[in-house]
Amino acid sequence: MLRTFLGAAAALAVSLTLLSAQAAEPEAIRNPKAALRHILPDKRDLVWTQVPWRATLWDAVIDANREKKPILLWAMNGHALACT
Amino acid sequence: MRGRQVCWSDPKLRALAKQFIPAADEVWRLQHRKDLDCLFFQGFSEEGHYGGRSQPSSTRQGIYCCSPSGRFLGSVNTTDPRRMERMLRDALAKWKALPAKDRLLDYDPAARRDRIQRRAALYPKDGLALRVYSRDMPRPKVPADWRATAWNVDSFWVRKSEARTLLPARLGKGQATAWPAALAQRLVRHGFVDNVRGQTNGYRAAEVQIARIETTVLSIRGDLVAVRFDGTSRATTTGTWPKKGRYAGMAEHGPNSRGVQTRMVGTATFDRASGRFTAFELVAVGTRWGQTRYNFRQGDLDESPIGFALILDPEDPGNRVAPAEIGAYGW
Repeated sequence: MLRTFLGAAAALAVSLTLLSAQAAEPEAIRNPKAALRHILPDKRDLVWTQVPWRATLWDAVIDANREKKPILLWAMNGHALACT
Repeated sequence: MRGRQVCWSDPKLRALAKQFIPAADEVWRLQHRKDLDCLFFQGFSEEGHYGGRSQPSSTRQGIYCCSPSGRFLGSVNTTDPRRMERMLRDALAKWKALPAKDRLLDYDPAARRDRIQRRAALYPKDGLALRVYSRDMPRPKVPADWRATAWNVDSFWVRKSEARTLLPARLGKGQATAWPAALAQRLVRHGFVDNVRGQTNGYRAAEVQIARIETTVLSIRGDLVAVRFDGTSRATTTGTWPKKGRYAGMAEHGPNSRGVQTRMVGTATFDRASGRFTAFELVAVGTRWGQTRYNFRQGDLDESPIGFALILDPEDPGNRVAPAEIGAYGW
């Protein structure tokens, strides 16, 4: 009995929180293009990509050896060109 | 993350970077594996800023300069552009002082590329490769620093055999189908995570309460099938994990709760002739709450609006980075 009640309460809680989320962002759902523009990076966000980062250290080793230049490595927990 | 805005958007640093061959890479793999590129990194990284360190963390993340031969030239882990500039200038001076015979490898590194195994090789070139951007949606109180405009990006990969299952088996206007549970869950577990300000963990399958995405066929013109996506998601977990302090020794462990819930809407075009999506836009908006150790949500634990945008990954073979949690894909 208690388990059934708790289960129903949990389901109700999930529904209520979803409803509150739905109430919070109907504009973004009604106008997904505007939401997309807000979320995607703009020119200012992408200035750092003007540095021609190779996506792997070894790609840089290959190019640096050929071009006789030193290597600059940005090594992060999580790939620095993706989710870091 | 912060380095993108604070350091690598700095004009002086971008100008200095032209004197190097720049690369970005993931440090855990470089530190721990035995592939050729990892051994190359391990050959100089111990001379750097975190050399020999195991506490409060053993990470070697940071910015390194080295010669193609693997000689250490300098390193730092900072988001202070001027400190970074000093390190780069110092490294360039050391490079210029290095005898020519010590600068380069005595073999062609391109010839040994196939000795290196990377998960980017799993890229589904005939399937569906998406970029998943995340950002806070407008909110009343915004921090007056880099967090105000923080965003992040990850990848979401779907194999060719899976991609077709996102559409109804019978293609006709008005036909609809739910995404297979495994694919909807993959997106919710690993794509809809609060990484806006920094890396975070995904969710376990049991932590996903809702992962429902439906595809409806809008129109068919020749081989091109236009579809609409609608969906909802919710993933949440409670437990005990470090909630304060960036490093193990500083961490304050304690009861935590975190989660993300969204509503989704989107459109796509599927080309029956090639079996590929030629257009794809999906927006998921909702709320996030809680924190993980490295996602910079300290002091921002309450529910607040978040958004995700999924678009096709531009075809750029030289710039493929595997999803952060591809290890959990089971590929």
